Amino acid sequence: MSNEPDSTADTIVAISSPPGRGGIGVVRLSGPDAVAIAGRLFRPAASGAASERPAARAPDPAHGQMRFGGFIDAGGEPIDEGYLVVLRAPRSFTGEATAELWAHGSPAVLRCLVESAVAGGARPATPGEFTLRAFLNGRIDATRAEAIRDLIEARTTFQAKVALDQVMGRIAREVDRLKGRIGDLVARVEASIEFSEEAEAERFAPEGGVASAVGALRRELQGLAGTYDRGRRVRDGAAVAIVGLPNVGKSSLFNRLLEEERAIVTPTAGTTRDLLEESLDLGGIPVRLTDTAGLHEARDEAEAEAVRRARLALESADLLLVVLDWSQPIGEEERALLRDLGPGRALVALNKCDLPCRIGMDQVIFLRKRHGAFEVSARSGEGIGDLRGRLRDAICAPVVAAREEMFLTNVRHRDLVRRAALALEHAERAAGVGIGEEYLVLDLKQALDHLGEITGPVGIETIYETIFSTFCIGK
Amino acid sequence: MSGERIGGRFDVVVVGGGHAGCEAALAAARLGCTTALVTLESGAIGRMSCNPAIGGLAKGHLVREIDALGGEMGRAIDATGIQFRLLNASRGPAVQAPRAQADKEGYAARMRRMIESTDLLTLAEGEAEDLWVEAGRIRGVRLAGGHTLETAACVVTTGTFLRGLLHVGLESRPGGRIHEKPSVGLSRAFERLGLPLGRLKTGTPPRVLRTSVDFDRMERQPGDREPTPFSFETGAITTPQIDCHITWTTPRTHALIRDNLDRSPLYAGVIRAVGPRYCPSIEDKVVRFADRDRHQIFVEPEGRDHPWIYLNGLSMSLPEEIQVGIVRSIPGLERAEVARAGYAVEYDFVQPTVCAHTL
Repeated sequence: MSNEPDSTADTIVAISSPPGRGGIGVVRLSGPDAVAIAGRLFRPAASGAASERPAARAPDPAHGQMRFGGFIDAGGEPIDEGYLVVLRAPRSFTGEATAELWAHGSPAVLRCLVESAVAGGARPATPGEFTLRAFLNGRIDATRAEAIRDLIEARTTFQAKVALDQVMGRIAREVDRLKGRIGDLVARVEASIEFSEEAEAERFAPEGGVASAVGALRRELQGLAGTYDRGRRVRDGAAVAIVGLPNVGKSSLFNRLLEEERAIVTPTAGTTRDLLEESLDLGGIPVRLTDTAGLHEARDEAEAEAVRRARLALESADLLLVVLDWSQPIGEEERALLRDLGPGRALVALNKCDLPCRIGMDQVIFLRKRHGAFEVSARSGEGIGDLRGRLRDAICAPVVAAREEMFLTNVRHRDLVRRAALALEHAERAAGVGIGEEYLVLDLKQALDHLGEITGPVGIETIYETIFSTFCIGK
Repeated sequence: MSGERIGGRFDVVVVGGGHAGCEAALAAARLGCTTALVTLESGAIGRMSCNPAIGGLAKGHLVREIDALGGEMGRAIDATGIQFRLLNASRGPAVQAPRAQADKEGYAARMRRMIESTDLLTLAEGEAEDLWVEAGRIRGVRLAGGHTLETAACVVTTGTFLRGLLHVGLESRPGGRIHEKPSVGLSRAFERLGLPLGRLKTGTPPRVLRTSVDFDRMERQPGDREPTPFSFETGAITTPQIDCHITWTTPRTHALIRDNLDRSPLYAGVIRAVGPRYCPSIEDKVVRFADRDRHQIFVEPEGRDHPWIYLNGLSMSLPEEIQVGIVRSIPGLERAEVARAGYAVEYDFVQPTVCAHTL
């Protein structure tokens, strides 16, 4: 793709600062006429007093110039005052000539500036169009374009950091590295087919043979695809459901963790019917904490529905916080619930530890040993810090520990990497049963195509370049 | 019908008598078009400037495709080949490719007889000097000396001849091939028509006298026991097959090349055009792959009885006396007599990207 901006593109305009009021608001124009259109909406402040005549416009501003002055509408009426910033092609985000009007953050002012720009020949940008242009002009690849969206949508600083890593091209670099290695393999296999009459044709083969080289790459791709689960938690947050029998204090714990009286708490069993979901920032990882209705035999239709929803939340959660009542003996329903817990999927909290223990010491020892159960009191706050720590460890620690490594956070990337790995698996199997290299190379190229959809295709020229720069070939 | 009928009117005029020109002219005439084949030298029809071979992975496919369309190359090489090998015979059919050494003179003679005996095809000896174009349509081809061949279609297959420049050492002279004139006027015609020209470089290795080669010091490379023909019409190859040989350059070869790079037009800055990367000169191989202590040389006869041997892999453009030393640094060639020095040729080409898919 050309790095030159498409000269036939029109000029687009949009408010680039967030909706609502603020100290500063930004209107951005991008395209061939961006500077001219913005220039007509701007009257630079003359040294000292502002000039009254629009004709007093200064000569075309240079790249990176930032100038203070007044904004005027299409009819020449003053709107606001602020800065005009000019970026010349291709040294802007979109790769096109770009002008930004930094006005006050008033929706009315910004809207008026956009309307005036449209009257001056610009077109309102569609969502994401600035980023699309940056992509089309070769300023960013698809991973970076997608990461910019993630960065904008990040809710915690850690999410922002991960997205920023990707904006900086971390995934792109890793995918490009793998593409380079597969490309090298394709070049070797192609060379051994195309130049089989060359003496010492065995020099084309990769060290250790094609099958083992393919296998090593396949494992790397699978490893990369496998980072997605952790990546997804960073991006989407982990889902934690608080479950247990009625009246064990699930909603109290929910409120305690959120540090607000979000859920209604009464001494009456079955107060909670609807699922309540709130976000919690736990060590940089956004957690979606869900309070559910107590699991028990429903007495009416509303309760039956509440229990059904609770079970759904239980099944879809990344982690369960199972709450037992320290002050009550354990019943059969709770034993069944504990039996069904998968390993590592649940924390077991013994709530109401400010009350006398009626659960039985044998049970407590068993629960501690088997489920790592711990005491907590939603009412007194005892053990809440410990609970937070355990929650963080259970869901966040693996991710936070991975902070320095790279992982996929985008499901599209994960699928493409998986498909590339699958193509390599086919190649590996083909090599294992002695299918010819001319077939195997098709699988390798398919893997390249899949990875190419993430960071851009590998052209046949690149393969040729590798062949002719790696091997001395020719009559 | 041969070269005396200059002037006249043809459905198709083909400029150039190499592989492409011959096939184009034969195809046009066989389709019923009155056709003229314009060549600088009628004796050079079908002459192989470089490697006396047909086929390989890419060109082997091409020749067979042309054959399927009724072309001549496949039948000609089947009749005059002296060694046939099916490349990638151990792999699947999609990547198998025939390659054959030609009896260079036998191939050219057969091709010329075919051109001369084909109805509606006229061989016109002369230089195509200009293209007569009106309102975006070809009207004729002007020959040096003033004659014009009127035509509705023109196929230009100039190979290395467009403003060809031959290099041996630091000396250069105009030429399309050794001892043959270049074609200069056509380049100007293309420029006038606004077609973008580029410049390419290629080269050919020295030839040595067969009687001066010690084949016993080389590895024998026989052809296939059962030769695979190119043409779908050929029943079987019945002509006897002869051997080629393989030898290798030595550290002394490489030292000689490195010591004399300043006298190679490629490295002294005389040649600026780029060469095809699948066909590097030995200078390039030694410089770019300095870690390799030897490069293979295929020792290929130019014909069944031809006195010359072609040194495939030793394309170069150093001065002649240095070429002699380089050749003699190679096992089996210690006493070789260089019959003709290798040289490089630079020439114009029309950027193929200006062609639409519809031509």
